[in-house]
This record gives sequence, C-alpha cells and structure tokens, in this order.
Amino acid sequence: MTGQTSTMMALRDPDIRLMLRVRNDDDQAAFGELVARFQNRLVAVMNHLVGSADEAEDLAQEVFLRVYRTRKKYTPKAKFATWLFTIANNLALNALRDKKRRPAMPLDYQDPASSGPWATDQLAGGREVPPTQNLVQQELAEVVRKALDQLNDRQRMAVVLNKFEDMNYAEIADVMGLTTKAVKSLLSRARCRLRETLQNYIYMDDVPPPDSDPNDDADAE
Amino acid sequence: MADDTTPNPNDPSPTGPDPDDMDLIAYLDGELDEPEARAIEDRLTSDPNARAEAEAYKKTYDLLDYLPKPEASPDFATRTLTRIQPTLPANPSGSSPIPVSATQRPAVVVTSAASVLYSAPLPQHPWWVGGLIWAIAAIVCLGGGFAVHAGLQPIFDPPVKESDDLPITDLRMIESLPLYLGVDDLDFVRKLDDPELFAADPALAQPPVWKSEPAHHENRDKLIGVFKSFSPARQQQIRQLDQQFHELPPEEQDRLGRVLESYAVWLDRLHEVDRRRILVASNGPERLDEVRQTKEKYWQEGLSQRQKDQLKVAGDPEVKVALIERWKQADQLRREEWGLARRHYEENQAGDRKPWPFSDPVLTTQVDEYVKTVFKVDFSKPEPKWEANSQVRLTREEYLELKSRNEAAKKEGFWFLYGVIVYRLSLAHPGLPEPGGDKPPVTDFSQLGDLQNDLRKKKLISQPEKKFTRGKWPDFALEVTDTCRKNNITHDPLGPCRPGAFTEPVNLFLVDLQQKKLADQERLQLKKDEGKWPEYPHAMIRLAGDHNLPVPGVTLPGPPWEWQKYYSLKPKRRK
Repeated sequence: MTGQTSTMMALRDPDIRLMLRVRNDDDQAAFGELVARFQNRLVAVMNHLVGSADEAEDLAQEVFLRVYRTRKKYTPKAKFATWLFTIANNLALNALRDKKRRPAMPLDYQDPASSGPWATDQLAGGREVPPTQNLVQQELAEVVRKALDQLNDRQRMAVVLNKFEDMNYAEIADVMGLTTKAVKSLLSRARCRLRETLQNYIYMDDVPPPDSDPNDDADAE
Repeated sequence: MADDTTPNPNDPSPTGPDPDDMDLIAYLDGELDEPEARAIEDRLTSDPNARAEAEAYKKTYDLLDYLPKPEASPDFATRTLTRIQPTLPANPSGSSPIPVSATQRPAVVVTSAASVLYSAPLPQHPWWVGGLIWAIAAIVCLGGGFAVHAGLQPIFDPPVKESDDLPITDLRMIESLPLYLGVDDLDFVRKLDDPELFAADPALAQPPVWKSEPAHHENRDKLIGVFKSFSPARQQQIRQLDQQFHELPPEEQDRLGRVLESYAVWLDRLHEVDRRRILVASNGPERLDEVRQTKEKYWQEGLSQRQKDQLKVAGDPEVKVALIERWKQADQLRREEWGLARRHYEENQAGDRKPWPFSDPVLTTQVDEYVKTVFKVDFSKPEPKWEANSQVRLTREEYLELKSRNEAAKKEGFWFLYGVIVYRLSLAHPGLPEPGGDKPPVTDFSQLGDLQNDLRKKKLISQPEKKFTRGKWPDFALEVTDTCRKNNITHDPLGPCRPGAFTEPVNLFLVDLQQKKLADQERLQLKKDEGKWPEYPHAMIRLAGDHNLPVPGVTLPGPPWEWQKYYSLKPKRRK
C-alpha cells in the first residue's frame, strides 16, 4: 500500500470517506452512517464468538465507541472494514479472556420486532439462509454451535472472519496481527476440527460424487 | 474451552495440521498461487479420496450457515450515538446535527450520478429505512420504469406536515409504499407468488412484519415526499395497487403481503447494478424476466465450487440443464424439510415433548427393531465391513448419518432430526417380508439352483458380478427377478407370496388383515396376486397402508399416516 494517499483510498472505499469525515470534522452523521452500515455484521460476528446476542450487542457497541474515541488517530490503510474488525478482534479476545466463558447458550428466540422480517432469510438466490424458527434448524444450529465452541478463541475468530466476513487470509492476518502463514495454519486446524465434528451432519445431495458407479457401495476404507 | 496460549488437549494434531490438508483448504479458499493451485487440482482430478475430502471440508464449513445471525436491535444506532454525545465539542464546525428529537427534519440528499443516498440514521427505523426506499426512489426519479415520464425532478427536502392534506386511504398506502416501489400492479404481485420466486411457506405462523410496524411519522413524511415526486401516472398505479390489495380476502392478502415483503427485502439486498436493471425495466413482464434472471444468477453464484466446476466441465447444454435441475431439487428438499419442521415446531416446542413416535417408549424400541431388521444395521455392533456382499442395505454415508443422528437423539434430544432420516431411509430402502420357517431369504446366487445356470448361459451374471446387490434382502431377489423378466426366463418366485409363507408375526397379521379389515374387493385383489413375488407382498403392504396399518417387521412401526404427517415432505397445500 506504499504510495497510496488518503485521497486515493478514500476514492475507493466509501467507508473510508465517511471515517475521514468523522476524523476531520467530528461528523456525527457520518459516524451514524458507519454504525448503520456495520452494526448487523458486527453483532453477528460477536454473536458467533461469544454465543450470546446480548453480550454481542454490548461488544459491538464498544467497538463503535472505540472507533469514535480514537478517531483522531485513524489513518486509512486498506479497507475500513479491516480496521474495524481489528478493533473488534481485540475487544472480543479480551472479553473472552476476562470473563469466564459461559457454556453455549440455548438459542435466543428471534423476536420479529427486533430484527428484519424473518421471511428475509428465504431470499436472494438459491443458497438460502435457513429461517430462524424451526426445529430442524434449531437442532442443527445447536450442533454447529457446539462444534464452533470446541475451537479455541483464535481459531474461532479466524473461522468467523473467513466465513462470515469473507476475509481472505491476508486480511485476517491484518485483523488478528498474525502472519498469513499463521492464519493458514490456524484456519486449517480449525476446519479440520469442524470437519470431524460435523461430518455426519452433512446433508446428502442428490448428486453423487464424480466418477462414482452408482452400484458401488460407499468408498471402501 | 481452551484459551489460545495453552496447547489444546483436544487438538487432534498437536504437532500441526497435515500439510496436504492445509493446502487443500487454502485451495478451497482461493488462497493458493498458480503452481500450488494446479498441484491441488491435479491431485483432485486423479484421486477420488482427495475429492471426497475436499467435499467434506466444503460441506462442513457450509453448515456454519445454520448459525443464527441476530441483527442489532432497532435502537442500537441511537443508543450508540447517544453515548458519544458528551465527547463532542460545543460548536463543531461543519458537523451535521443528529435528529434525535422527533421534530427535526432529516436531510435527504441525492448525489449526482449514482443513486446512493446518504441519510442520517433515524430512531426507530423499520427494516426498509436503511437503504431500499431511497435507492429505489432515486432510480425511479432519474428515469426508471413504472410508467414514469422522463425528465422528472429529483427529490429535494420533502416538506413536512403534508399528512394533513392526504385522505385516509392515501395514508394507508403511504405506509405500505416501501412494498410497492418495485411493483407494477397486482398481476405482477401474483406472478411473484411462485415457489421459484417469492412464495412463502403457507405454514408460517407469523403475520407479516409489514403489518405490525406502522411507520414512524417522520418516516411517513419522507415517504409522502417520495410519493409526490412520482409522476401522476405512477401515483395512480400505486393507488390502484393499494386499493386492490386491500380488497383481497384476508388469506390472500396475508399471502401476497408476505410475497411483497420478501420481494422488497430481496431487492434491497441485491447489488446496485442488478437492482437498477430490474427497476428500470419498462413494464411488468420485462421486469419479471429480469427478476427471474437475477434470481437464477444469484442462485448459480451460490453454488459450491465443486458444482460450479461441474457446470464448467459439462460442455453439453443438456447436461448442464440436468445438473441444475438436480441441484434445484436438492434445494427444494432442504426447503421442504425446513417447512416440515416449522409446521410442527409449536407442537414439539411445548414442554420437552419428544416428537412422535419417540414420545412413546414402546414405539421407540420398535423403531430400533425396524432399523435392525429392515436396514440390517445394529449400532451396538462395530461398523460393518463395506464389502460387496454385505447385508447392510444402507450406503456408508447413510449409515454414518443415521448413526450420528441416533446418538444425537439419545444424548441431546435431537429426535426430530432422527425421525426425518429414518423416514427418508425407509422410503429409499423399503422392506419386504422374509420367508418363514427356517428358510433363509434369497440373497446370493448359490441359493438360486438351476436358475443360476440359466442366468449364466445368457451371460447375465458374468462380469461384473457386483452389479447385483448380493447379500441384501430384498434387493438381490428383486434384481434377479427383474433381470429374469426382462430376459424371459421363467423361475420360481424368489420370496414368500402366499398366506402362511411368511414369518409368524406377518402370517398372523395377514390373517387379521384379510378377515377383519379388508373389504371384499380388496380381498379379491390380494388373492389375485397370490403366488407372484414381489407382487403379493407389495399388495399386502399397500393394502395395509390404505388401512393405516403397519406390517410388523416390514414397515415402520405405528400408523403409516402418522409418519407421513410428521415426516413427509409433501404437505397438501390448500388453494
């Protein structure tokens, strides 16, 4: 990123533009816009990390407050989201270390008034996010939750950033203060664990694996 | 749970992950450079085990999508902003005030080229305040579709207190306006009510959110401003839509209301470019076309990497179409299972009741027996050897899934998931009654006597022998029977097909069925098939099912209609 001026970065990333207004002009409306843009993502990520929607909100709010409090020291590098999640990462890991981690909470009832219309989960393309209220999903979600809890904090963070924030290894490395290689190893180990725990809940496609003779019994071991 | 500084005793590979797997995972994440990626691709092409591994990694990762994604509560932004207030200097230069009080008017600004509108966050926003309405309104104003005349004025600060000017019905329309923005007319909405588009499951217990959230009056004024910026033709179109919509019978209104809501939120989530393309279509049919194409595009983008590769590799368009069809059916299966679970969610949620039949300990034991007898699976024994003549009728994948769900049910109470798979497998591997007395069921060539020679002479069992489902009852016998019929080879029936030929429980059942349950005509039907295998036992099972009776040791225990009711995926949809 050498040679990139703030202006160039601001031109690319509207979030950086907004943050610069917060830094330079104490622009609260710009800050509000950033909150609106990132609140759901942050709450979701925090929830995956700490397992409680309430705690997740508190943590998410802390992240934004820290963003505002340290606004004068903000220098744009890469994407705004990376910087935001770096703060989130630090806060989350600290919180997890400080408090005694509660066991996985039963899933909170999704109050329709507190989130978007729940029908929204059935939209946007074929790979739809499961609806929030049904028994199969509840059971599966608990299974997955427990699998995720078996990872250590850093593994879980890497997985959450990779899976839900679509960050590549370099970005995760930035956020977590690691080398890309360390991230690769961390993720690999995490996904290995996940695979072991979740292997038997994989849904069977109607599509058999390539090259398989349908009369074959499953792969001999 | 381990913290990240001490070695995790549960870590299976304390010395480090398998380097092969590391690269494979990095490949799946798109993180390898060219030569490394090619090495993995070579490996995947030549090694089915590697492919299976990759598949397993991908699929287990996808399961994370089942985690709930709670959103921030509606006042999150306000609360956060309130907390930073004390840190503000008294008179900041160039800062915009935040409208935390209801009397302040928010400023709405249209940027020149793009349709990105910037607005200060409002307290108490319904779902659509974030992005949808302003983006759409801007597009519409700058020359979008919807019977809009070109050269309309863009929106400026909407004036307040206009609500007094409008009749009551208009106010109702204004409150629903976000739902109407992407819609031409009622006919368009009806076309959206398609399972491939935005039709929702009729079993939803929830009323649509659009009904339960009346617009805050600040938002309402914004909406009024937007509405007034439309052409008279478009205003009329919307009025008419609103009127017709509210004249619908309540059930249809609810259903279409959900469709409108789904559609609106879907529009909101699209990429700018795709949303714009839909909104600027010049009429309903064209817009629908764009909607379908966009949905298809997003669906394809959502496919797994393996599926995308398969599509790429399949040169022939017909093959592509067939693949897509299969995947859509798999998706549909998934959707239906969720729909199924939703339908029974409330029932199962009350107390800690286990879902039927697991609420009944006797039936639960019988289900275990069924699994042993019909699938030939015994969880108390070690995993079977997956040889070609194994008597286990499940594939290894099915076995593992069944086993783990069985354990999850017993240890963690996930009975519904277990019931679902038992039912599904019972349809995939239906049972047929075995012969009684000491006769073993026919599961191998050696039991066929002369028939084996006849088959050999016609070269029907030379290579590959594994084509036959050796070891499995009734699969082997069925396959031999089928082969013989296709090749005009006569033979004795390969299974029991007369009263008294079955095991005792089935014999007794059959007597009871014939004497006490069947109508005359049904008895005749059954008698007609005596001596024919598998027609006779099939007829018996079918007639039993008609009378809602299980066949002991052959079909699932308990009334078959109950299984269908709880675990079948094709509910009857009321029209």
